[in-house]
Amino acid sequence: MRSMEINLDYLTRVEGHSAIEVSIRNGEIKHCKLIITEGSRYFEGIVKGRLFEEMPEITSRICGICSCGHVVASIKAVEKAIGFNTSEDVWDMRKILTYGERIRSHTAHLYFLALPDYINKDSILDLKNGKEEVDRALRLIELGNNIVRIFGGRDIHPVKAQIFGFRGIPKNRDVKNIIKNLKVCREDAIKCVELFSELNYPDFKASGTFLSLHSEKEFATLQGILTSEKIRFKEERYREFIREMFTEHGNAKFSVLNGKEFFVGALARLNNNFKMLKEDSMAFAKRFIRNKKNIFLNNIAQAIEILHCIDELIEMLDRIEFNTNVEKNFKKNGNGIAAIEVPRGTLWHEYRIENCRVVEANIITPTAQNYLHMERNLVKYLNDCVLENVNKKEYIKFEIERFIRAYDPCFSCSAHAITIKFL
Amino acid sequence: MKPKIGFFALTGCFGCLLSFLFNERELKKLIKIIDLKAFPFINSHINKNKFDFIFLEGLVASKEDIENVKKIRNMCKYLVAYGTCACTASVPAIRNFKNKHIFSKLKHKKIERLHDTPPYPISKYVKVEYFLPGCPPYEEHVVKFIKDIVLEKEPRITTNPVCFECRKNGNVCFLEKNTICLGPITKGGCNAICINNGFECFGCRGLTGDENIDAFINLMMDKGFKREDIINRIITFIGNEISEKYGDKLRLLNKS
Repeated sequence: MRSMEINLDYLTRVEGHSAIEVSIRNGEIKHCKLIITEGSRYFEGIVKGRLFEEMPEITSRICGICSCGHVVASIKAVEKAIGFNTSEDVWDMRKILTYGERIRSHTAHLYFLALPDYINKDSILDLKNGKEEVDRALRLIELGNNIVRIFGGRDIHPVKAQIFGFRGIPKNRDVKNIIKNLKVCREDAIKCVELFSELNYPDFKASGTFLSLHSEKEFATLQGILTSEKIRFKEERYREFIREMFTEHGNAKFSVLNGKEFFVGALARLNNNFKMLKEDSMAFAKRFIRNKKNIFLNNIAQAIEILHCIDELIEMLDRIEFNTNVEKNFKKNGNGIAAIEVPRGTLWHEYRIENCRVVEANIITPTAQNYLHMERNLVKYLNDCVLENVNKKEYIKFEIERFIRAYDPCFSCSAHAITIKFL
Repeated sequence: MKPKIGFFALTGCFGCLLSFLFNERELKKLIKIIDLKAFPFINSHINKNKFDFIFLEGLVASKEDIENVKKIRNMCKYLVAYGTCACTASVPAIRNFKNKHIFSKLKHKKIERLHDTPPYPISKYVKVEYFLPGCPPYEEHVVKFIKDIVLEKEPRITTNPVCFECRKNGNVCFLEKNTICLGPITKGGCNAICINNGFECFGCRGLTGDENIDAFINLMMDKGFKREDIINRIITFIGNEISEKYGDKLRLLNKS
């Protein structure tokens, strides 16, 4: 092979701002850097001194598409810190909100961000005969967004979910409409799985542990134990396993699990919670997720999760009783650690609260956890699958971009913060 | 002639770009009435010719942002500050009102980066013709704005406080519910969506322009809120706007 410098100043069709530099000498990758060019926003410093009730509203702004995730994670962590136990019903409503977001986020990523790579287009809107696909995407996005609107009040930066419970319960009529919409869109979700299972993915095996929540009661979303093939730990112990470091280049922190790169995301969730999938989703997973460590199959995993969410939601909304909490007994001081599964993987929020105010905060987003995995496996992917077959710079650039996109990265999330020494 | 339009983002949460896409029923129609020349979030092909309007989300929080905002200014006839980050620098700008020592316990070597580029809205660096505030901007407002520019009408933004729409919607006043609701000093146009859903107004659309901020703060203190918490709440989304208008009069620096 040859030598070349590849500089992607700006990755399109990803959330947030990033750049990639790859240097190849005589067919060998000399260096490969993923640079997060997003400005830092220092949320963990910004929340210091604020009342704990303000955490959802402020941390929601870390990310637009996963705003429900930050809201729910901050609520879980704060309620743990102040010793407030919410009812099952409220947890169910939070889960519904989370699932609504997962449907809209996965759909938007799959159709708007990822699909163009596999159909040789710059944008799904360029697709001449793509009316059916675009309409399907919009129907599924609307389905997810309507769930978020009804349970969260707004589709981005929801306000109804707060510390102590919800600021209102949905009207029966709205819930009935959602159930109807879920049943109609189920067919769309199946077509979505079929579409993404038929695409031509490279056969690549990633390194590293695939980590997610796991629960024996349900497909893990808001509760569970951190799990992979080899590791199990409760969320309270996360600092023993996950360490954060700063990169030399870029504005993001990156994480290591027991010193090594690791992956979080839909594919990790499917691997670790396979038995908890609903019937049709499980059948699809069995059929289409053969190489469980092929990052490209994260796309199929997301499609399968859309179907699973729809099936779980139909069941939940049929039986759920909507109640908000009434009593408000809580402590003014405490420490709370929360892990929940959001579209792109496990999200961590930790708060220490003194006299009702946040004095320390730590937030680890899925993309921050995946950062090192992305960088290291990009090298592996280029070495294993690309450089031997592909010569031209523009094709290598294409492979780099579609590899990164398979992670569904959210670079805004990963560049939110600074490290603070936790006492 | 359809207006040539582009959607770009500086440092931000991408919520404003997404809220444009999340007009699920209107999206295809909207794209038909404009000439959407660039939207890097969903389209790899970035047409770099001149635009009539660029909708720019995000605040300036890095050297790259400063370079980009100037480039983007030169690419369009009319620049739209799209969303609260672009209008006031929003939540990240809280950093400007906190003591630096909070950020000094940093393990990271490159601590200078912190003092690098304080968070500011795009109008600090370039001329802006239109402001679409909101975190994110109210969807109907964005659709109306686009329809106005297609029809070559001058888009208008209300300066009535949120209370107008809130009362019209029949909500119980959140000041009476003992919350720090910023409705009285905040521009409406959002249909009071947060209060409609049981949550007090956090002021993301900016000051009305004729607000009586001293009276508001005194009212909140009479209700028993600490001055520190009232100021904190006010600067959540519009710290830079408050600072520019009222300067040191409000004693903004948070001592905690």
